[in-house]
Order: sequence, then structure tokens, then C-alpha cells
Amino acid sequence: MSSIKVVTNILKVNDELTQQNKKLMNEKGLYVINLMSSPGSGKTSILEKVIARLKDEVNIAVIEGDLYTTKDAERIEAHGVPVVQINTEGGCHLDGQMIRNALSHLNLDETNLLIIENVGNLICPASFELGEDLIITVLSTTEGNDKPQKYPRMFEKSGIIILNKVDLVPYTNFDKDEFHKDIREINPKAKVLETSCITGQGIDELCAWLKETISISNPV
Amino acid sequence: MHEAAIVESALELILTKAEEHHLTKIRRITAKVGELSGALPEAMQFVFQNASHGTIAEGSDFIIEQVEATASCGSCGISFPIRFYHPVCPSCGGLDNQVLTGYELYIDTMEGD
Repeated sequence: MSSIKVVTNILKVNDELTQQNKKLMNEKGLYVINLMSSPGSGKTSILEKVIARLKDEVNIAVIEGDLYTTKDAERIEAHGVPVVQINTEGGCHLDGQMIRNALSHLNLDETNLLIIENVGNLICPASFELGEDLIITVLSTTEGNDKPQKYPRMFEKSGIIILNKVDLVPYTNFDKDEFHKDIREINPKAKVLETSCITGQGIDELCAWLKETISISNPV
Repeated sequence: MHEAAIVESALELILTKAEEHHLTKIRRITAKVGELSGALPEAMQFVFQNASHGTIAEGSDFIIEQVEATASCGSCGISFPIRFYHPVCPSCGGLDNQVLTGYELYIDTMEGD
């Protein structure tokens, strides 16, 4: 009988692939955003708004994660930016191998900003790093203000937390004070933005912030 | 159910280590899984029993040791367990806290012949 001290991270393979992806993305001067949320919170709608505002100033490419469909990728493609669809066929998150495959389909030399829209899921994607520079997590007001407490990992890792569908607050029991208090406890460093894709609230601020961050990260 | 992906990675790691150490049968594996890791021990057990089928790890004891989530307070310095992910210092109410444990997700030891 042999006893072996292993002490090795279970997600080592993903971590190694992610490190390789990160190296490649850094070499190409890409700023990479991992966009996460539950299904239906408005990730794709926010992305469409951001692309429409920034695409003339920033070369954007998108990786779309979805279980089976190409619906979101079609919406992004309509804005005239390069998009690669990853269908996980039931898988609940994107991982390093999937990103590596997707990167091979993009012209990285002509991209400044890569946005990865993860599979809609508030739990699993938070465990798999994709080599991103920034995590943006979206919560919509119709999901309820208790979600950051119930699913803290994603919120804890985020640089930006977006509260979307704020135009619907009067029709829900969403408690914004509670939400902001919980976020301050879980992740006091996160920038928090309130948006609505219907009224356009917060979109200018989000775009201005992204532009500034990208230019600081990749000075021309 | 990302436990499937986690256990598949774990199994790959275990089988590679076993080969390095010339094991032909794995008897026992211990893993450390933190309360904040997002992985459920019960789901990991379930996946392991299926995923290890037909490998030298089939039938081994897969023991998952849960690691409590703790944090240290940046203001008063005490360490405390995190309840329901609220790293608020129970002593001084400080919010400037560093999570110490709870994110573990690793294979600790294995035994075999």
C-alpha cells in the first residue's frame, strides 16, 4: 500500500488552459470581460446597447455561451461585430478548453475588447476562471434583492455589478437599499451600476467606464 | 451540476498521479472541499461513483472533508466563521475582512497498491 500526498487543485487542468488563454489574450492586447448572470436578467440586451454605442470607437468581439441555441449570437451578429457561438449542449458553464477553441475562430489582432457572455446561471460559471480582466455580473430587479446573499460567489468576484431592469422596481418588491447594503458587505470594492435597457438609464455611464478602463489597460 | 466537470477533472488528476506512482489499484482518496467552493459533496460523491466505473479508482473510498468558511477582521484582527456568507466581524462589526478558508477544492491524499 502506498500513501501519496497529492495536494493539487482539482481544476488544475482548467487553470492551466486558462493561463495559456490569458497569455495569448494579453499578447494580443485584448481587454477581456466575463459577463455573467442568471438566465433572463438582460445580459444580451445590455451587450447590444454597449456594442451599439462603442463599436465605432472600440474593436469588439463576442463569445456567446449558450446550451443549445444561436439566438443570442444572432442578436449580436446583427450589430456587425464578430461573434463565436459556443453551445455547451447541457453544460452549465464555459471553461478554458471552450474558450481556447472559440479564440481560434476570432481575428485577435483586430480586437481590443473581447466580451464573453457566459451561460445564464448564477452558480457554476463563478467557479471557472476564463482569463478575464473583469467580471461583470448582472442582476435584474425581477429576480429579487435576496440573490446576492443567496448566490454570493459570483457577486464577490465581480469588478462591476449591474442592477438591470430598474424601470420595473415600482412593479416589484425589490428593496434597493437592502441590495446595496448586501453588495457592500459581500464585495465593498465592486462598482455598482443601475441600468434599464428600456429607458437607457445607466448605459452611458457603463460605456464611459468601459472605455476609460480599456484605454488605461491598453494605452494606444 | 458543475460537479460533473469538477469530478472529471479530479479523476484525471488522480489517475495521472496513480500512473506516476505505478499504482494498479486505488483504495482511498481524500479531497478538501471548502464551504464557499460552490461544489456539493453529495453531488461529487454521486458523480464519482459513476465516473470512476471501469478505472483503477472504481470502488475506492472517496472521502470529502468539508472545510469551514472563516475570515479574519482587518480592523480588530480576530478570526471568525462566516455564516451564510456575511464576512462581517462579529466582534467590531468591521467589513474589511479577508476570507481565510472556504474556497478549497483539491485532492489532498490518495492510497493504493
